[in-house]
Amino acid sequence: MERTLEMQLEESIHNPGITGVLCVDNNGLCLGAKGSAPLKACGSISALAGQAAKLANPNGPTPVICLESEHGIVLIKKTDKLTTALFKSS
Amino acid sequence: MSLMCTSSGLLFRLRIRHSDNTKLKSLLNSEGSLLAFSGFPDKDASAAGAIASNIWTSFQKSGQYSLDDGKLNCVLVECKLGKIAITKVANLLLCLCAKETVSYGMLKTKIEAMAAYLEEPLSQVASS
Repeated sequence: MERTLEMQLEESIHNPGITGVLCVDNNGLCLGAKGSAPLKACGSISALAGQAAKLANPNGPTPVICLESEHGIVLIKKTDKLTTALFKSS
Repeated sequence: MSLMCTSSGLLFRLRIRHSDNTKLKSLLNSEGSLLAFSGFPDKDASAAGAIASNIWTSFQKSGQYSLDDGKLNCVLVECKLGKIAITKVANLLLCLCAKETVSYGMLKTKIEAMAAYLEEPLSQVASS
């Protein structure tokens, strides 16, 4: 059941600059992670995506959240039942 | 008669989604007695089933008293050697034991998929 998700995560991690990838469900529970993605961030990622979706147009696509810091960039996107976070090195 | 009315049919349904990360899947009645299982030996499965049923009943009672809501959906438990998920299917309990490496989200998704798969045939058995 989880094999397809594992394969997709493995594929994502091989993109240049990506250091970690994390998939979270709507309850903030981790579905899968690869690389250096911090597992303790699962709840925060889901909550951030939920809050950002409230600010965006309800009929439009869900927003992509970009968090920038000295150490790298985190991109977060929420879909129907899943929130994905990509960790990139700067 | 549906396939689920035979024990072999029930075992087939429990085994069909078996993966390397799942140690045990068991189906229990409301008293914690084992109806069917797929995974490690019978003695361990019976003990695990009784404990799972006890945990479920305790949480359901607590929910009813403190939240005035007895509709418990799912219980996730983290143990030293693995993780356990418990949910209700028809009038029975479904318990899934997984390795400690399985994430909570995946475990919850698995037990929900399993419960949806067993819901219809077990409801037929429960109503007959």
